[in-house]
Order: sequence, then C-alpha cells, then structure tokens
Amino acid sequence: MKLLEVTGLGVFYGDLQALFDIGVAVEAGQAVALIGANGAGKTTFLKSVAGLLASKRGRIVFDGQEIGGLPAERVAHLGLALVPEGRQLFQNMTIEENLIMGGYTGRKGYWTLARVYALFPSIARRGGEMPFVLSGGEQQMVAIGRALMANPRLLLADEISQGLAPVVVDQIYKAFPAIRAEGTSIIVVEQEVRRAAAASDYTYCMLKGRVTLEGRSNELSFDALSRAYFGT
Amino acid sequence: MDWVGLIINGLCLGGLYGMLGVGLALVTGVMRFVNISHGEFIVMAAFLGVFASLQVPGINPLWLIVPVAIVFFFVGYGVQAVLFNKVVTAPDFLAPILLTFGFSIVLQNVMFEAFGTNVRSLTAGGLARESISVGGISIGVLPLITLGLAILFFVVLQLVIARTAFGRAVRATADNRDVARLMGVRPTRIFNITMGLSLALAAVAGMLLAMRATFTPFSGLSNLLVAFEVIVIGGFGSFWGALLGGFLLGLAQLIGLHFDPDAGIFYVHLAFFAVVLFRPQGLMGIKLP
Repeated sequence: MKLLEVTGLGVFYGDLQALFDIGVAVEAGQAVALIGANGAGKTTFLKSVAGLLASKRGRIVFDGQEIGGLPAERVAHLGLALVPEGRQLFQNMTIEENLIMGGYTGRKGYWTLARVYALFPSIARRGGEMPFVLSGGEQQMVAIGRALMANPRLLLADEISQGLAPVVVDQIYKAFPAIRAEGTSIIVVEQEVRRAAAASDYTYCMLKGRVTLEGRSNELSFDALSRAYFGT
Repeated sequence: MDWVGLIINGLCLGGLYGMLGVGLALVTGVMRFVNISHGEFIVMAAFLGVFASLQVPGINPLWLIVPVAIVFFFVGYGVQAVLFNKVVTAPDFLAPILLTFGFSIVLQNVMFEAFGTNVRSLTAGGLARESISVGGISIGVLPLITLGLAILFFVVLQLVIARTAFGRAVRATADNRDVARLMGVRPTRIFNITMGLSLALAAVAGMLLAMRATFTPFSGLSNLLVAFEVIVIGGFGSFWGALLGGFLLGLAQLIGLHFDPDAGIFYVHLAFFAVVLFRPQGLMGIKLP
C-alpha cells in the first residue's frame, strides 16, 4: 500500500482551475521530487494535499485513508507536515517557541527539540532569539525542524532552496538522509532540476497545472526533463 | 492640593479603564475582529450582577464578580461559535463591524425591554464608604480593590498568553492562521475561547463599573469609546499598553475634573486626542517605517 496516492486531482481557485487530473504516488520510505517552473502548480498541489485548499475533486489517500475532504488541522494530526513556501515562521514568538509549536499535535516519535537541534547545529544555541534576526538558511532550518516536531510520516517541503545561497542549500539537503532514516518520507518541491534529481528516488515534472513527465530520478534524461519543464 | 491622593485615585480609575479595554484588545489583536457590541456585554454583566445580588442580598457583590465572569465566558464562547465565526474569515473587513453593530442595537433594545430605563447600580455596601490611611493619605478601599483586580487579571492574562500551550496557539493563530492550522490548531476553537475570555474580562469590568457609577441599557456606547481609546493609545496588540493607556486616561480624567469639575468625561477624550496626535503608534506600539 502506498503512503500517499493522489488520483485525478483537480483544484480550483474560485472559477479558475489550477490543477488538472494530477496523479502522484509516494511509497513509504521514498523521497519524491516535484519540479517545474513558476506557476506550474507545485505549491497549489502541496497545499491541497495538506488540506489548506478546499475546492477540489479527485482522491487523496494517505496511509489508506481518504483525506481529500479533511481540513488542514485534521490532516496534521494524521502525520502529514508541510514546510510552507517562504518559511513562514511565527514572527511573534522565539525560535524555540516556533519549534515547540510544531509539536502541537502531540504526535510521538523520534523527533524532539533536542534532536532537531542536533540535526541543525547552526540553530542549536539560538532558541531564545526572534526569527527575523536569523539568516534565510537558518530560518529554513527552523521551518523544517518545526515540521519534524510533529513526527510526520510524510514531509512536504515547498521550495526550501528559495532565496538561499547554494552552499547553504547543500547544508540543508544534507539533513535529508537522517530524516528519511527515521521513517519520514519526503516530497520535495524544487525549481533546481539537478538538486531535485540528486535528492530523490522518483520525479514528477509539472507544467501549467498538469504532470508532464514522471519516472525514476536517475533514469530521466536531461532532454526529456527540459521538454517537460518548459513545454517545448 | 492633594496630588498624591489624586494620582492614586487616577490610577485606580485607570485600572478600571484598562479592564474595559483589555477584553477588546484580546479580540482585535488575536482575531482582527472589531466587536462593536463589547460595550453592551459590559452593561449586560452589570445587569446580571444587579439581578444576582438581589437573589442573595446578604452577600457583598464583590463575591459575585467571578461567577458572573464565568457565565460570560460561556456567553462569549457561544456567541462566537454560533454567530461571530461566520464573519471572522470574511474577506470584507466591514462584515464584522456591521454584524456587531447590528448586534449591539439588538442587545440594547432587549435590555431596554427587560429592564426599562431606570438607572441602576450595584452597592458594595459599607465597603464603598471605607477608606484606609497610607502614609497620611486617605484612599478608598473599593478603588484600591478595583486597581488590584485589574493588575491581577492583566498579569494572569499575560501569563496565559506567554507561557501556556494554549497561549502559544493563540499567538500562532493571530500571526498566521493557515500555518497554525498546519500545526494542528483549530482556529474556530481558538476564536471561541478568546471571545469567551474577552467577555469574561468585560464582565469583570462591568461589575466594577456598576459599583462605582450608575448605568442604563444604553450605557454601552460610552464604555465602548473608552475601551477603544484605551487600546488605541496603548498600541494594538499590547496588553500592558492597554493597562498603561487606562492609567493615562484615568489620571487625565481625575486631574482634569479637579480643575474643571463640570467637564464630565471630556478630559479622557482630550488625553486620547493628544496621544494620537503626538504618538500615533500608541504607548507600546511599534512605529512602522
């Protein structure tokens, strides 16, 4: 049984249809990359899986349970955590309070405050500070740590490299093996094709709200990816 | 001239003003919700206090404050769940204002039908006439109790918001409702409890107000004005700012009345106007560049 199975997903913003007949599957233990240009619908896809967008049709089955009709606050309790685009840390509380807030569902598992700090040593001694004094990379680590605190079975990472220097992004991606080792599968949304392929087992490419290509990450040719990415 | 006595009494009145505002500060800060009917709930609590104290004439009304506050917590929870939640997420910022404005008119008229226009008040009995002597200055006991209760409630509220898991969830919801939902927070539940706390605080203020002055079903508006002025000069989102704002207004009122005894509530509004002119972000607000 797949961990996540999305079939025939269509998502609407009012009368505007943003996603058409999306089919995505994630096996337990997998890391899946979702690539595509701006406006392809990647963030819309993650938000609708997480339960933030109500207006949709099709099926979203997580861990054998239909979650398409559930609101985000219920989906969070089932073990699905989204690292939102742009980090979106809570500005009116400290780093440590942000992380503790991530554990609000009370889900038990490997990840605790101490272990999140161990995963990201750069933020380890900065718990008492406010988010705006941290660098972009450090804020991204806090955002990922906050999602891990819910001990999710599936982590959705939306453009975690956005606005960050490559060296910093490398540092963040280095945490992925440890996250997967503790039993969390990952969907990573990326604009950088090579980085996405290197970090994942399977890749989906999106364009204008549809899946244009899918396959094992190490089997997709650069040419095929380019065509699917740009739609040429 | 008894400056010290004047200042202390000004602070006591200020504590009451702060209490009028803090409930409103809670909902505007957390839910971005403007509750025009807040003043009517203050008055309704005063009526409930009068009614309750008639049932138990031997008991000093001060002991009724907590039960009345508890009743109004559930009133707030219910009103939010049944009515106000329908407009909290509305994209139109006018919707909450229109709804609560209409609701305030309904409440005023319900109270008028039920209680008439007779002027009411709550007597705290002998306590209202007692005073204690501190360092040669005579201070009324009831104003001191009012000030003490105001500071107590502010401290408790601040601790709840800053130190508890619930308080953290409230702050998260106020900052970013969708991301709070991603953490498993149910926004409607947070709103219900917040409105419950808001009206419980309004009820305490209403009871204290009734012991100090008279009221009618239509007294809500003047209380609402003071409540808004308190949170505006305190700075949006700051509870201590609301208390400080209350102190400032209370001091201005009593000092103004001392020199100009027929001025009514004029100096409260004058002080408000002055603060808005010279420090528009409020006493504890942040000035946006």
